[in-house]
Amino acid sequence: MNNPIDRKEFVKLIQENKGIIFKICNSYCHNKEKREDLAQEIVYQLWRSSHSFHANLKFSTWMYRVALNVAISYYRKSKRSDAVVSLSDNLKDIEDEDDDIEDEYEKNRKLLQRFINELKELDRTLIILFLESKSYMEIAEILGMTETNVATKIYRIKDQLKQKTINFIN
Amino acid sequence: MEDEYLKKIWNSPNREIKDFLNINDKSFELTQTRKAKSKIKSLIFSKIVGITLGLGWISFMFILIYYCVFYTPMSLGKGFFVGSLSMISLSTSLAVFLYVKDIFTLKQIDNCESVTVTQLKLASLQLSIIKSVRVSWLQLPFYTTWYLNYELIMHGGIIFRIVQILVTGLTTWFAIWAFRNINYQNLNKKRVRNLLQGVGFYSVTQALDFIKEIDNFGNDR
Repeated sequence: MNNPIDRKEFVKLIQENKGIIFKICNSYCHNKEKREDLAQEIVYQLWRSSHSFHANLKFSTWMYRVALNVAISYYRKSKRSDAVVSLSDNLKDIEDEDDDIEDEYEKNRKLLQRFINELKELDRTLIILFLESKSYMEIAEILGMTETNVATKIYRIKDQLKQKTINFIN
Repeated sequence: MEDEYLKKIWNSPNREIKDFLNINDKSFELTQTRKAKSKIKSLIFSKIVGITLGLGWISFMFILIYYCVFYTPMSLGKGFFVGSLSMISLSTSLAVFLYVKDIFTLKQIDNCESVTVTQLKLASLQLSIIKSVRVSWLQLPFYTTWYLNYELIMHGGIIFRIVQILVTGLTTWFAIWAFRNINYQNLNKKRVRNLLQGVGFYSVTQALDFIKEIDNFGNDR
């Protein structure tokens, strides 16, 4: 394979971005055991697709495209078997750990993750990219939509999250 | 919730991520020996199974046709047998052709394309099973004619003839009905749902819903 990124450089880039790969896995795979599998799948597919990476394309744009495509496909494939178990598992995790969590950020982060996991597949990609501080232009490029549309959708999703928070508190 | 606060909590260091990265650091190593379980591979696998079974069935039909054409004397029964089996083979060949076409499309799917484009292609491929199913139903009436011959028709009796006409007529009507009605627009109809139940109705409706979601996602509404 004639890759524009050599193996050493690729491994370095993956190590630098493993945090975001985990966050994507966490948002699309509720089953703890399967998250490792999805992370491996993403890394494997990134390496397989690395021949199509061009220097004129931002590395992060390319990486997000591949990682999100793999994660959504994986999620849709396992949705049928995992759906029921996963949501209850997710809620149980939060309930179990709630007592131990002293850190307010950690508590809110878990809540945010839970609300994100309840969103539709594509809405999830949008909010993940927004939270990763990607520009509207880059989000539009990753997802294949217009910047105006990105802005409108993000506004609506944030509104949805706000509503969920209010309902949760009440 | 303010944007900055949301981003702050999303990016805050957390135990979950630390635990995952500590335990699963090997997940991020590049191991090419790993057997990829990608969606595309599993779709290709299911298509290959369909093609293999289809080709097996077509080969069996061809052997029977070959022996019948070259090793049996000319008769009305031979005409029914060869004609019916040929139509069954033709219908199966069309379904196999659609599966082969899907594999070529699958091979062209690129994860580097934008998320909506790639996911739309994948979901559309899941729907293609509908085309194969409707073509396959067309062979049904020919399973009721392959055994007919001069003796059966002339000396089978009136009851046999009535039953034969009824069965062939009904299966023909049903095959045409299935061919015309099995499509995306009719997925909400109970009869169509029942016909697709054994071949993955759930994944078809899921794919259709997802396509609608992608369409809606791409619109400035």
